[in-house]
Amino acid sequence: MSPPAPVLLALLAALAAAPAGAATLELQVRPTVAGEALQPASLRYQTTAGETFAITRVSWLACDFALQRADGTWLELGDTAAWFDAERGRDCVRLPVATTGEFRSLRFLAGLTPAVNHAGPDKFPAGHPLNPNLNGLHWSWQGGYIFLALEGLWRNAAGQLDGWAYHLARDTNAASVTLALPLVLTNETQVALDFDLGVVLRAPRPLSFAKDGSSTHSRDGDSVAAALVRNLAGAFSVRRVTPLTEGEIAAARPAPLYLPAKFTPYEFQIAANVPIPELPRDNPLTQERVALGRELFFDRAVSINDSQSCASCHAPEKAFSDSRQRSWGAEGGSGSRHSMRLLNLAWKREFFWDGRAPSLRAQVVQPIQNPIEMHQSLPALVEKLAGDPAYAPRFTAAFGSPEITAEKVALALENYLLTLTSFDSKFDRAMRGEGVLSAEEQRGFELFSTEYDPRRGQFGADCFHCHGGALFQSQGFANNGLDAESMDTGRADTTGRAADRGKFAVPSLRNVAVCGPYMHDGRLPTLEAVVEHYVSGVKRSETLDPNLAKHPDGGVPLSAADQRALVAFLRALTDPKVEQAGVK
Amino acid sequence: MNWMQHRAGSVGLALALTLIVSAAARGADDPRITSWYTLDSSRLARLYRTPAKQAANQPETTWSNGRNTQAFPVRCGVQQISSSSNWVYVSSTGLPGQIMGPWEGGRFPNLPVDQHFIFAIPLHPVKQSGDAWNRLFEIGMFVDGVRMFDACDAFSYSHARGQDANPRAGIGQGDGIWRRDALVNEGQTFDAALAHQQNWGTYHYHVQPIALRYRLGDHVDFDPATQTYHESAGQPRHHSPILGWLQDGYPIYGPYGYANPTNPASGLRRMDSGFVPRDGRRVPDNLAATGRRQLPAWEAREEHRSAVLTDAETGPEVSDAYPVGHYLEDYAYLGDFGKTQGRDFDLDELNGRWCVTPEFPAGTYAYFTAIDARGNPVYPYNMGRRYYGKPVGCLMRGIFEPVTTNFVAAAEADTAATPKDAPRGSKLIWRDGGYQTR
Repeated sequence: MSPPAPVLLALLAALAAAPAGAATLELQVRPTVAGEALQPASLRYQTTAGETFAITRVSWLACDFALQRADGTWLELGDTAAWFDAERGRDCVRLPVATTGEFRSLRFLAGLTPAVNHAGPDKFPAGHPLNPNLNGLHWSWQGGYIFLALEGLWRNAAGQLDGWAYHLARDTNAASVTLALPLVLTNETQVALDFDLGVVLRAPRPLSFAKDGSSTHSRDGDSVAAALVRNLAGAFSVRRVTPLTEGEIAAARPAPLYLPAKFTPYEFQIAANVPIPELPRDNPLTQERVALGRELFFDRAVSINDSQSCASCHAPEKAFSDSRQRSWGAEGGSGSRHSMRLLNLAWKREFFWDGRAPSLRAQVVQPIQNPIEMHQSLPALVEKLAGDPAYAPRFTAAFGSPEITAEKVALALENYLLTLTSFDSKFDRAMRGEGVLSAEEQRGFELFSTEYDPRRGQFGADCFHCHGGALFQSQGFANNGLDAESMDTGRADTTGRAADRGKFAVPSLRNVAVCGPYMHDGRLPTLEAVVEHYVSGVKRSETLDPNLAKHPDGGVPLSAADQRALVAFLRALTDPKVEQAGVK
Repeated sequence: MNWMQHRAGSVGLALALTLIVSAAARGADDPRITSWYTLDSSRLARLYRTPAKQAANQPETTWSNGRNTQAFPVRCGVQQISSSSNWVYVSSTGLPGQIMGPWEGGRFPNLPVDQHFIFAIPLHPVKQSGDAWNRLFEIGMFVDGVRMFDACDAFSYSHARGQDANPRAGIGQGDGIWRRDALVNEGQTFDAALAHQQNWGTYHYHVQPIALRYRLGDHVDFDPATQTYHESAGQPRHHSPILGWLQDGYPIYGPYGYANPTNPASGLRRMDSGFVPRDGRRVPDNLAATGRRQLPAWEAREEHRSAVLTDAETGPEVSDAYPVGHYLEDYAYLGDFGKTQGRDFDLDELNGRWCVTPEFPAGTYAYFTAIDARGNPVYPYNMGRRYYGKPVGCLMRGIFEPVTTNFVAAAEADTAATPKDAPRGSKLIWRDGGYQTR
């Protein structure tokens, strides 16, 4: 039954009127120091105490945006949360404003409200600013987000490069910021703010890395955290207000490539507490495609002389790594880096130790062609696969036609690799209440997830900064102090930035006990040696990670018993299914 | 010695309530060894942080509010029982089998955490002679391994300030004379079990442990719809079970005992405490008329002082803010007003009596938890202001003499009880042109 005409007309009028009364406020925030745009990783700034320092990371969350009307009342702008990250170029949030009009101030919370902070890391869809896999700011096992991660390097009294890491977190440390913002909002308007990091470290409460400490994790009564909260309130200023003429162009959603009319969706299961990953929209996970990818992964035809499959250097029972320090190629050659483990890749953005591949489909074709690995040209591979009658029906099932191309090989392998997940271990069972860790393992976990901050009575091992979260990994690249002068320039190969020299992908510590030897070049044979490295072997350099640089020379001091406890804890991260090579 | 290490080192699977009894152990059938409730000992302690979690039936096995953190799942209550010729040692996490919380609608600032203590109680309790003054506060342990606190909430009236000291007032603990009744002043922070925890996370009862009574089958019903406990309707058909042990080694029972203390065939009745409010109804003493200028006689006896207070010791006038019952001193003992224990009421001023019980057919001194006819806890709740026996029991961190192991919680956690509590992950499935989360 259709509504009577007058009602319909009124409805249409209301619909037409709605957009006219609404507007969008685009808030752009630029990190600055003393009014100038931040120069990242540059030792050019000075604290009030005269300490020279650089800023390498500025990553923060905001929510509770509101505009104050001319009459003094506040218009809340909904539950939009924002994540800003200098390194990732995240500098902007778009806020829908229900009504146009005249406003006089802007208010927001630098940090999160308790309800949002504790909503649970697995509640936010891929791409949401609060998805922990996107922002890397969630302290999974402690609960809650880091509101502001500010890190860098500084030169200490001895002239040495030291690290500093200020992590502001916990409900009580969310800082309310109010800015005068005379604004007549009619349509789309961009407000550009400056976020002065010099003020955050200086006014009204000056911080000195030497005097106040070079790290905070916002425990109770932490004076650095208190100073940061105080300083944050005055660190923002309005630089510019610009009316925008055009709305944002909606990002085109890529269409699925070669999706057959009939397919069986693959159920991608993730554990509780694990953030929702961003799976490729143009390569949907289907059972047929995953099966084909698995077939290809274990097929020796992929190498030039049929001697090797992907699994030759990525053995399932080794968490898809290789127990050799440097794997052998199809023709007996070997490279300079250790075979990477391949679990939980769905939560990674960049692949290889130096992150040179932006997707798995781009990654998989490189070892196939690399002369010291499988040394097979893609046309030769396609020809070889086409000669195997078993493949045509599999490609048809996966891609809708029997035609084999290198792109489809890559898509199928990408599908398969994305499904290699591991969330189970003795540790997870204990966290779920289905088992109990030994006292030594518990001690190891305590060390793992506690900072080293003698000034505040904390004597942990600081592991969680890089290997945090439910997946015990981060998406970043870090220099963990293996060499004072790295022979392998690592991440800098890809980015061309001196600040990335000696940095390598941070690997997941899930199943770490079965995937040795360790480090990008496999130089450390055992977990004991790895822990020893962080205790006594860390070498200082300009790109050493701030969370390690803040430790005493050599590394974080741990007793022999604590070192054993850390190793015991790492061993509790092994997935029985991986150990039994059940993942195939 | 860490009891967890000890437990991990023990061999063999002990079933709940099945005791590994060594023939050499003396008194292995003593209720001090056998009365402990261990059906939940292999299960994991759980709690609801908020009413919403409770409504959704989503308990958690680990929790933190930044102040109290239970980073690892921990098991419920009694984990090990050992005994020597003179002592029983009960290792407990201090957390009960029922799902705890929420407290005060989720706003209560404390969360319970594993206390992993050892409670030592004398196997051969001795009556204390004279009228010794006893230090109270933590007075015993219930048989599910949960701590028993006395009737006070640790705060009292400050005459100089003209107000109660309390956790938020910042004026100390008070004068120590008009002491606040924990149920009256903190009852709103109790969970459905009638328990809460202090600031370092010791979960405890001040009053009758109604959830434990339900688990022990002591005439209590549980309403799953409202998640609340109520005294059952009708007459009890069994003598109440042992609910716990006080530090003097004597038991505390649920509210129902034999009508005649020495005759098990005399029928059952709810034990009437000897305490009544000083409101002029059952005793002539009426604080509303006289003001709080005199201590009750029982209190003067305990404190070895005159009942008459100096001006600086008087309490606030009776009012809506300070009703009769606000303080422990607001109660009178009927024995001080010509009434007779055994005829007019059942329990002495320590809240117990000498009697026979199912576990002690030859008789014992026993305390009884006090409730009124509607099942509500009433003063003095579990114990008066003094122990019957010498309170030599205490909490320990280790055992320093050879012992026989009487019970060890099963080595494997009862996983069957936990899967529905474990948070489930989600699935991403490509459907209708996009990934759907399920």
